[in-house]
Amino acid sequence: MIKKHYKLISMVILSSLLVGCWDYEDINKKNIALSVGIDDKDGIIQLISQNAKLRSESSGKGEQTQITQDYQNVSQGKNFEETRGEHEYIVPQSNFTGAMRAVVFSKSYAEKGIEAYINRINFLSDLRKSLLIVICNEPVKDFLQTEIKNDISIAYAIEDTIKKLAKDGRTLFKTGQEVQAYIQNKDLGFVIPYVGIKDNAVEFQGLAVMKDSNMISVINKKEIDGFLFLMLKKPNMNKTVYSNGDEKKQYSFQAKLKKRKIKTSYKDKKVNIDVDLQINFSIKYQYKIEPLNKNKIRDLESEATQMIYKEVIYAINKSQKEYKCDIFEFGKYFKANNPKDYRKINWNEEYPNANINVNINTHLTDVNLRSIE
Amino acid sequence: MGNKNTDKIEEIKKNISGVLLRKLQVGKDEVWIVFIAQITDRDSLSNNIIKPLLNYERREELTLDLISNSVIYIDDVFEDINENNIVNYVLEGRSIIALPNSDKFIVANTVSIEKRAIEAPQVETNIRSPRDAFTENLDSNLSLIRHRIKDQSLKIDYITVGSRTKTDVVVIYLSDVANEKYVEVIKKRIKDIKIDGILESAYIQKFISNKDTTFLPQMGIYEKSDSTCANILEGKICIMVDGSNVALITPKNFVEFLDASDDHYENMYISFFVKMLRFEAIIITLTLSAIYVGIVAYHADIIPAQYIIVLAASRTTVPVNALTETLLMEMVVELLRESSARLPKQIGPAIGIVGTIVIGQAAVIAGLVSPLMVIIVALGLMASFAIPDYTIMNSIRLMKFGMILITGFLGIFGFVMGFTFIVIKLASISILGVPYLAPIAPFQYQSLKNYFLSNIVLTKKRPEYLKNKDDTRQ
Repeated sequence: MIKKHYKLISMVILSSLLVGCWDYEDINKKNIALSVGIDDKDGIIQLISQNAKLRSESSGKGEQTQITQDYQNVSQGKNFEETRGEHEYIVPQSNFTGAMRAVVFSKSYAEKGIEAYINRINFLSDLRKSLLIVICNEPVKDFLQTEIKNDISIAYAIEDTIKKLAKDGRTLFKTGQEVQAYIQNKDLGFVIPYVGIKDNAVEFQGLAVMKDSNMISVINKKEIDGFLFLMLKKPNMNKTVYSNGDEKKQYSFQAKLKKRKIKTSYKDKKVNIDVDLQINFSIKYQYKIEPLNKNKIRDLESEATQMIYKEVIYAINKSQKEYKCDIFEFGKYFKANNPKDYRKINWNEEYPNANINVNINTHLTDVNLRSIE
Repeated sequence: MGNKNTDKIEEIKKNISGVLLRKLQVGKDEVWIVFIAQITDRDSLSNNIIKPLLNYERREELTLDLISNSVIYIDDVFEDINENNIVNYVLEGRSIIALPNSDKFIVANTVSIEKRAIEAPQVETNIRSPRDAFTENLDSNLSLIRHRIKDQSLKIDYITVGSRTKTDVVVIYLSDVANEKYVEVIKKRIKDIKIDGILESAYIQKFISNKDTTFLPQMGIYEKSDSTCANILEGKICIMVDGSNVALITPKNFVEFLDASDDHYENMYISFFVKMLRFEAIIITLTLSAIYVGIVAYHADIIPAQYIIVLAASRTTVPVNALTETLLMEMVVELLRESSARLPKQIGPAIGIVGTIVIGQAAVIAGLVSPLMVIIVALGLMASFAIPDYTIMNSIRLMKFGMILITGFLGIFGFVMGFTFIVIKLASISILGVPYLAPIAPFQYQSLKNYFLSNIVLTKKRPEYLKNKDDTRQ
């Protein structure tokens, strides 16, 4: 029988060198990590892992119910290896990171640079590269200890909140792999979702601006729209404009980016960037109903265009003057369009002085079944 | 005065118990009638043979020819001269009429065997289809087939198999449709069987199947005449055994085991849906338990994150690992299945209740197995009953254990390897030259379309893979 099936038997034996029952471990025998937080306390790295607590308790007539809660493990050390080692001493099971949803950096740690842990995520095989990266306002230990009222645990709340907003075109979802790619590109900055706690729920508070993997500022969520029009693929804004400046006559509209064209050039030793945004604009409803006509719609369109223009310009000015950092990835377009010039210049130095022109075209797509006179 | 025939009859009467000899005096002539009471229709013997003989008043000398042509009323009679055949005829239930002064003897068909009436099928149950099932009597079964197929090209070839049982085996086919080579091969394999007795069609099935692929069924078993006739009309060969209530159909490939007769009677959209459901049932039965082991033991991260925690929480009290848990539960289910098949009808349902409620529910409450495990084995068990022909599911059940073991040792990698091996094995088998995975592999669009739609109106051709003499149906 062995002679007849020797090929098959040798295939099975060779395969067992790659995988085998020595990797066998049931999921309930593992420590299921839900999220991990990194904080910095006076130069000491604090690693807070939030783990699923699996227990079953009987209730009433001998029926068993499974309740899952979470608990924290806090360990600290001078570096990640020391911190991790301390973590291993107190956790009795092997780690399972397949259920991990997010990595949370504290503000203080992010200001000192997150590159080390991002590299750890990307080069260690037991951490998923698609983990969500966020920065939190509060100390991480307190942040992760919050009892969340609207989700399974805080880890899921973070991911679900950011994912939903990203899907709606209201923020970015940044994974460990993406952040590592940004960090490697020294000419570009990037943003990471900035979260906090409000009423026992995770609140999206804005975007943290990162330069050289250090957090330099936070863009408040109220000022975020202009930035998103330049960064997201499908940003989606819900705003109101006043009709004839009358506060009572507000029109709710939705602006969706249809197309974004970026052209770059290098003339007279100056970087020129032309940003052309085509936006689809639709009227949702009126606060106070009044007849609609073509002139009115034209005025509303013009108001909305002006509003969006101002926000985009504000975002560009912020990035040039305050952050002095290209968070919109204009450098990639410049490199693609003008490779020779790109090699000659230092993009970090040229970007704050670049001449950026913004042109916005809006197009009315929908008046939400209202009739136009 | 006697002769070789009467001497033989005397010898038979001495040696074989139950043999009766009736000597009649008809005028000056003596007539010997020998038979076995238990397997002879004694009313027919008395009214159609003995009575007319005793009432014979003509003056002509009584000869065998006169008896067979003019005296007895039996429809099926013939003459034989070889006295060594007398014992075989008597053992078959026939009556022998011999004259002391004649070398020949008459063989009259007075066979009467206790048989049950035609009933509804037990194994091949359908929602909408005729319910006349085969019985153990070959003549009754052949009458059902002849009633449905009234074609002169319907051939019924008899072969006697078994040195002691001398069982009649028939090969039925349409001579102008079925592939001659298949018929010849089947007949040759049946004739080559050397055994003392054939008691059921399964004996024939085992003897004539390919030896290297006995793990998988190679013939379909049919209990109903309509589905048997449908297969004969398609160009397949039917084998029936006297004493067996099941007909064998060959060649049969994998997808045909998922075909039920009421697929062809229902709306084609329903038929298509139900066929897809059956494919799903095969996949569920074969793979679900193995996937559970692979996920719990090796690759929990492929399931949604929220469920990982629920799954882990549900297994906190389980004392054994996932592989052992799965194997134990599957063995319990197989025990339940086997015991419910053997138990009398009166207490069979009770075992079902005991099995599901006590073992399933109680085991979960006691923390011996996880709830998900119970759902998985229950789903697998239910899915296994969705297949019309249970013989393929027997193979799938065994392969399931193999998949569980290989996944338990090698994870999802082992699962993929095991599944690939099964597919390769299926694709490499051929039954009488017909690929086992046809019409999927080799891909034959028309045959596959006709198979899934099961619409007799649209099925103008017979399946290509059968290589029939005549492919046209309408």
